[in-house]
Amino acid sequence: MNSMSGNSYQDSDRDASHPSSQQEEQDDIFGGEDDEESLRERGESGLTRVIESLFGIMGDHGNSLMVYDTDSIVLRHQIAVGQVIRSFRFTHNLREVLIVTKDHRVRTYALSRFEGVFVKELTSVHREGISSMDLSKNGGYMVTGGDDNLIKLWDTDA
Amino acid sequence: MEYHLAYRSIITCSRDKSIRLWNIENFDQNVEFTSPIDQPLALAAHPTRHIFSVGFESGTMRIFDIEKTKVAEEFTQFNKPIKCMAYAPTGDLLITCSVDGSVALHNANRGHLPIKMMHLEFAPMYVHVAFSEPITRQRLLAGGPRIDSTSSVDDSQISSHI
Repeated sequence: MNSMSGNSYQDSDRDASHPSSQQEEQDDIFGGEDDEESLRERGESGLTRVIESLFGIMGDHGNSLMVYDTDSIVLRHQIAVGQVIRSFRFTHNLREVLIVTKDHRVRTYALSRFEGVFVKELTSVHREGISSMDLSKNGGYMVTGGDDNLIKLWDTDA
Repeated sequence: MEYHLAYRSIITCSRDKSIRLWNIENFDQNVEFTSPIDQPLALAAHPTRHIFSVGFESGTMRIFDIEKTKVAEEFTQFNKPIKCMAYAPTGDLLITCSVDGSVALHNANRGHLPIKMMHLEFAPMYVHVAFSEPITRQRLLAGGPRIDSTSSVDDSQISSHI
């Protein structure tokens, strides 16, 4: 077990020291990418690559969702749903958030504006409340568990 | 219940005040932690290290070391039950939520020291916290003569306007 993990570390080190030809090709296309901070300091233009991650917590009364940037802990979105929120999940591409409300619905909001943009909603998901919801890694499927003792698998692309 | 990806086991906390780790291959019980006084309510497994965090009814959060089978850290940020907690996918940040909607952010890389507290004026009916998966975005940085005039635009914003 240890030797396996050791090999995997070696592989990752080798990959890091010798970037793939695809990566080099991409850098050539964009003329290479610089660190965002150094570009800002020099006042220059350029294309930077940033890793973005968000987290969401409940707002007052549980009627709104507050979405923060994980690195800076700055409020990025405040989505007023108008219903009591039970749980929520971000889609894998970070464009949308799926919100389960107390009225047995799953609402989808796009994260393109500060206040969010309502996209669609799933009604009659379960006969009773939706106790839990999660998304698959590729975002293609949603699974819900209901207070009606049912587990349902949904195709999110359909 | 929580799945520990790094340790490949399922962690459960139950009403009998026990926290148990189950082998994912054969569903044998590997480890059991018992808390005779405090009821464990919420779990979060660290994505890479062999540790997990448990939120208790008293408002105390304890970090358990699986390999040493002991409590590694203990923090009391709340005086009300901890209902929900989650680690960031990178394992850098831990967020704990109290039943009254208060939120504590812990730096998981520095001994889970609390770095920020957030409180709500009106308590929510349900408490939940979720992280997004980290994604890489290319950002066009338009520079100007002064540093404060520098602005950036996401590629997603560009595509949404086309």
